[in-house]
Amino acid sequence: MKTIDVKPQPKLSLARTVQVTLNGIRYRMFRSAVTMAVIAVAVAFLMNVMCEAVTFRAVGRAAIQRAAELQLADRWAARLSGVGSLEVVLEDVAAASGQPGLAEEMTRFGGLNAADFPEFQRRCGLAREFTVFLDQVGFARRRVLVGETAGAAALARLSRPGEFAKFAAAVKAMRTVRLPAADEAMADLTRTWPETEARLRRILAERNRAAVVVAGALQGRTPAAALAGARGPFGAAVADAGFSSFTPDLRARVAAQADDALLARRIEDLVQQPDLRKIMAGILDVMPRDVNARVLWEAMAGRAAAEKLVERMREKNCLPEGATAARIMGLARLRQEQQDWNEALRLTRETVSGGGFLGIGPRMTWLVLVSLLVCAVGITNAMLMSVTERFREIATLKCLGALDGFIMCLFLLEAALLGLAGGLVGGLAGSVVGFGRMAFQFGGLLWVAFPVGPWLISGLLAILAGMLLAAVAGVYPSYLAARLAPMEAMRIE
Amino acid sequence: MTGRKTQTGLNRIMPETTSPTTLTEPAALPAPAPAPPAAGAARRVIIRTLNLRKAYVKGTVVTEALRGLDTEIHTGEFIAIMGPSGSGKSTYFNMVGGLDSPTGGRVFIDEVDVAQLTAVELAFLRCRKIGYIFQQFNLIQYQTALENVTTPMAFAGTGPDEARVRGMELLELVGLKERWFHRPIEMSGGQQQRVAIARAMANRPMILLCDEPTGNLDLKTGREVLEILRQLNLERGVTIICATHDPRMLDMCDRLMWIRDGRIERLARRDEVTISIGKINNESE
Ligand SMILES: Nc1ncnc2c1ncn2[C@@H]1O[C@H](COP(=O)(O)OP(=O)(O)OP(=O)(O)O)[C@@H](O)[C@H]1O
Ligand SMILES: [Mg+2]
Repeated sequence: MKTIDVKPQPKLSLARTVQVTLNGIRYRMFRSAVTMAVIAVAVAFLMNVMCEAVTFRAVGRAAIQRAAELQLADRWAARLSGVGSLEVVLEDVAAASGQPGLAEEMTRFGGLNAADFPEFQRRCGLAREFTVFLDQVGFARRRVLVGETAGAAALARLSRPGEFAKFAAAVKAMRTVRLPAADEAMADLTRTWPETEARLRRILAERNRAAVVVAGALQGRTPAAALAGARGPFGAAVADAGFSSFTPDLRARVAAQADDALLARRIEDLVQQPDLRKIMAGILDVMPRDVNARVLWEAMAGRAAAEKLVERMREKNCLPEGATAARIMGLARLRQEQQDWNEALRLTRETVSGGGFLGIGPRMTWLVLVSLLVCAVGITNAMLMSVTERFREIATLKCLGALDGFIMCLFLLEAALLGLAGGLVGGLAGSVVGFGRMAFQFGGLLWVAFPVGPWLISGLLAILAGMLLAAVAGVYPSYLAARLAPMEAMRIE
Repeated sequence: MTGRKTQTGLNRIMPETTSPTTLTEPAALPAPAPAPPAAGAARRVIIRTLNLRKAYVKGTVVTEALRGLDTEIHTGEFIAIMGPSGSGKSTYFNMVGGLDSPTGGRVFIDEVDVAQLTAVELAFLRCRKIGYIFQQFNLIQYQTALENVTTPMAFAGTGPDEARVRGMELLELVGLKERWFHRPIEMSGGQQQRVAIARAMANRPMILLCDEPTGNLDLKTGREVLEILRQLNLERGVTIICATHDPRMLDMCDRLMWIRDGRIERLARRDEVTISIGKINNESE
């Protein structure tokens, strides 16, 4: 029996292979463009959904943060008035790491060791997530899970013996409901809740005691009014009373906000007076009885209206101190922003606290998966069509002595190139459409909270998905064809 | 295996280049029976098939395209395979070229059993030992004439510069030197087939397999193509096996093989065949 003396076939250089591939793509320009366009559309679809998902999440987070910032003065006013609940304290403890002095203040008020505070804070964080979870789970389900209770009361209920097991079983039975943490962590939270609650109550009590001390410095003003002067001695008095988180920096911000709030109230009150009301109606072009805070502030966002109002008030000699057209406009805009953030908060409620892929929540993750599927089907179809019509070429190459590996390499490269080009175009187009829609929904808030990082990651993922799907869908049939004897491959058409 | 004696004393390795031979007139060949190599001549059996069978199965229908073919083809021979449509010419061509696998029997190319070869060895065989010419040319559409010719050279490891020089030589040989940059769609059928011949010759194969090379061409261009093939056969000693319906092939070939219904009907040297006007004897189609 003779053998054949085979010299190993030299590997063609990558440059040469790329050149052959590009030649092919260029020659089949129209076909390639169509394939690329299909890939682009599929990737764009995926990217669009991902852009919306990450935007929802980013805007939602920003909204929570911004809402807290905008309510700074209100919160301090409430704190100093001695109104407060366990839930509020819970929230404050959970947010303590962001603010200087707050951790120390809580540790002192709660009678904790400094070393124990991180653990306490972790528990409170989880407890807070749990209360948010209860808020979002829907009324009917909540009734099943924790009865008529909510917030801290729900936790208290679950800490009773046997309740948690029932609760966990009910959650499991609901299937679609996901707890914010693993069962063991939740069990631990409820078991230790009485202790945590005691600490929280103590903090609340200590705060109220400090508030009583501060009351001496109010000099007959309401806390809200007094806070407008927080830059001065009143601020120091608050800090001295034990609120060590009331740092000078914070005092300045709170004072500015309180001041704004006071001015806004003054103007709203003034406008209710009959003669000003009539003037306002003239400015706003509405019936006098329709003049209310909402239309007022909507109109004041425009310079002309604000200037006119200031002018009239000056004529009537009732211009509040410190009120200028620019400032009134600023107030109006701030108010609008606040409304926008509240609206955003409502819209994004579902997506903020969820886990899921990229942290976009289970619902959005589901959407992304579905669009990935659509993407896969589209790309597979396009690639299959462009590969199956080239079986003859594969067979010819084999007749010329090409190894299966070279053919695979050719098709892999082509698929990857088409995938890359289509992915880039699609990623860009999907971003434009996705963020365009989001800009329409959230307006300027989008640019404030623009999720650069998640956007880039999703872009990368979308392009990768496009390339990978194109490669798999393009290479698999060509692999099948390359493995066949040339004539068998030629016969498949 | 049959009791046929395997040739000894030959190189176990096929020579890289074909030796120039002058084989215009075949030595005494007893036809139609498969002939042993002429004693002392530099001829040897390069393709041998033993009881070659191929059945195509489609669902429950079995088409027996080849029903036991025993053939022997010697180096430097020009063989024309003729037969009515559907007789199994193309199937024979595919089996002998290692382009499809037989359902029975064996194919030896230079005493190597093709069925025993690995994928890499088969690729090597297709790359260097055999050149293929198809009725539909099968050029790669997105490559220029020169690129088409140099592609198999790249598979054989020829450097790009050398490939270019040799590619141009081959194009010159087939009279297309001036058109090296044209794509297949920019060329006539005859020109495309000439490019295909140049490509088939790229790695100086010992065997050229042609399946109706003139089938898609008019009389004149068909003649040009046939003349190139004959020239290659005479000047370079390339063994040529040509399935065809073209009666002009009779002028050129050394031997004729008629196939009918997957069997050899007749095997004859050319000088044994008389050509009557418009009709070749023994072929009744
Ligand atoms: N892929 C296939 N599947 C089923 N039957 C096939 C296939 N290829 C060829 N055949 C059958 O095998 C027989 C021989 O076909 P083949 O192509 O070898 O004929 P041919 O002699 O080349 O004919 P032509 O002169 O028309 O080219 C025919 O009956 C044909 O129908
Ligand atoms: Mg045929």
